[in-house]
Amino acid sequence: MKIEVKNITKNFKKTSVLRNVTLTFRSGHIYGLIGKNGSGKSVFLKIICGFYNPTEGEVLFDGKNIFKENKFPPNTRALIEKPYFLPELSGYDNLKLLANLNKKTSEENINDALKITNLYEDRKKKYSTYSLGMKQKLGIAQVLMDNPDIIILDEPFNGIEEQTAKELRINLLKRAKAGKIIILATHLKEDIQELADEVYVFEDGNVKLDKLK
Amino acid sequence: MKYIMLNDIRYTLRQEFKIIIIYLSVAFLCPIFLSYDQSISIERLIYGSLGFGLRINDLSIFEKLIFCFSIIVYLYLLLKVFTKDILNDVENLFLRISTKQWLFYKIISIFLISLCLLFLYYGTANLVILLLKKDISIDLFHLFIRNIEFIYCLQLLILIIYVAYYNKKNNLFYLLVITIIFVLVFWKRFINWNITDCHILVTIFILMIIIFTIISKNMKYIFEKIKEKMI
Repeated sequence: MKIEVKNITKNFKKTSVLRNVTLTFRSGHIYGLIGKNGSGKSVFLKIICGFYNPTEGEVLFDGKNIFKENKFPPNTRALIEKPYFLPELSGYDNLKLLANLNKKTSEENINDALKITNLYEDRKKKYSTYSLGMKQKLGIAQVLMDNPDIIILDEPFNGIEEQTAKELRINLLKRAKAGKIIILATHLKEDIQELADEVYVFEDGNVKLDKLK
Repeated sequence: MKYIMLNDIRYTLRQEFKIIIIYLSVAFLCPIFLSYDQSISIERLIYGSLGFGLRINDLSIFEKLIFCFSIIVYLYLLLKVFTKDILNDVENLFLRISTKQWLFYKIISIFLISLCLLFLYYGTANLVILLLKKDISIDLFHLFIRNIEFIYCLQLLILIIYVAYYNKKNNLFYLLVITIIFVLVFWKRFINWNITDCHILVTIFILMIIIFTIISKNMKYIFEKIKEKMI
C-alpha cells in the first residue's frame, strides 16, 4: 500500500495552514511528523483521513483518489486530538460497541489491544473513572484492535507512563514489519526519534525531511 | 447501530436534560393554565396542551406560543443530535462505517428520540388533563401518530435545508424541491385530517431520498463546513 500526498495546500479563510506539501508513505514504514502546536500536523492527518478537504492538491491511496468518490481511506484507524467514548460504559464495553460497528473485530482482538496498552486490568472500570493517561490508552486500543493497514496517531504518548510507551513502540515496530503504514505526529522529537524511519518537520505550513534511517 | 443510538440517547439525556425538563414542564403546566377558562372544551384543552392546535382557527397567543415552542424543541434536538458526531466522533465512526450507513442510523435515532420525547409529553399532559377534567374523549392514538409524523416530516425538511445550506452546489434545486413539498403538504395544514397517513409517509420517504442524495454527493464538504462554522 502507498499513500501519496501531492501538493497539498490547506487554507482556513485567509490563513494558510499547509503550503504545497508533498509526501509519500509506504507499507512497512513508520513515519514521524514533528512540529510545534499549530504547525499543521493535525490538519495534515485529518486530510489523510478524509475529514478535511485540501484546498489544493490530492491524496492518492494506491493511485486512487478516494476523496473524489467521497469516501474515507480504506482500513485506516486514527487517533487525532482527544479520544471520544461513552463515559457510563467500561473501557471494554466501549471497544466492543465500536467493534460491532463493522463486525470485523473479534473479542480476542479487543483483549489483545487492551493488553498492548496495559489497560486489560482496568477494562471493566467505567470510562468516566479513567485518568487522562488511561483515556489516551483506550484511544490507542481503539485504533489497534481492528489491526488496520494504516495507523495514524497524533501525540500518542501523551500522558502515558514510560513502560506502556515502551511496549507500544515495540508493538508499532512489529506492525510496521508486518507491512502496515504507521504515521505518528508529536511535538516532542524524543517520542519518535528511535521509532520512525523518516521524520518530517512541520513549520509554518511547510514540511521538510529531518531524518532518514 | 447500538453505538450510535446509545451515544445519541446519552447525549440527549445528559447535555439537553434542561431542555427536556422545560419541555415536560410545559406539558404539565399548560393544561392547568388553559383549564382556568372553565368553558374550554376538552378538545381544545387537549390540542392546546399538546402544542398542536392547528385544527382550531382562533388560536390564542398562548396556544401559538406552545405550538412554536414544541417545534423549536424538536428542531433544536434534531440539529444537536445530527451535528454531534460530526463535531466529536469522526475518527470512531467514519473510518468504520460508510456515511450512508451512518446517515441511515442517524435518522432512525433522531426519530426514536423524538418518539420517546413526544410519548413522555403526551403521557404528562394527558395525565394532568385526566386529573382536571376526568375525561379524554379524543382518539389520542391517532393524534399521537399524526403528531409524530408531523414532527418527523418537519425535522427532515429542516435537515435538508441545513445540509443544503452547507452544500457547495445544487442548493437552488434542493431548495426548490423543498419549497414545493412544503407548499403541497404544509400549506393545507398538516393536522387537517384531509391529508392521509399515506401522503405523509410518501413525503417522509421523498425527504429521506433528498437527504441521502445531498449528503452522499458532498458529504465531506458539508461536514467540514459544519465543523468550521460550529467550532
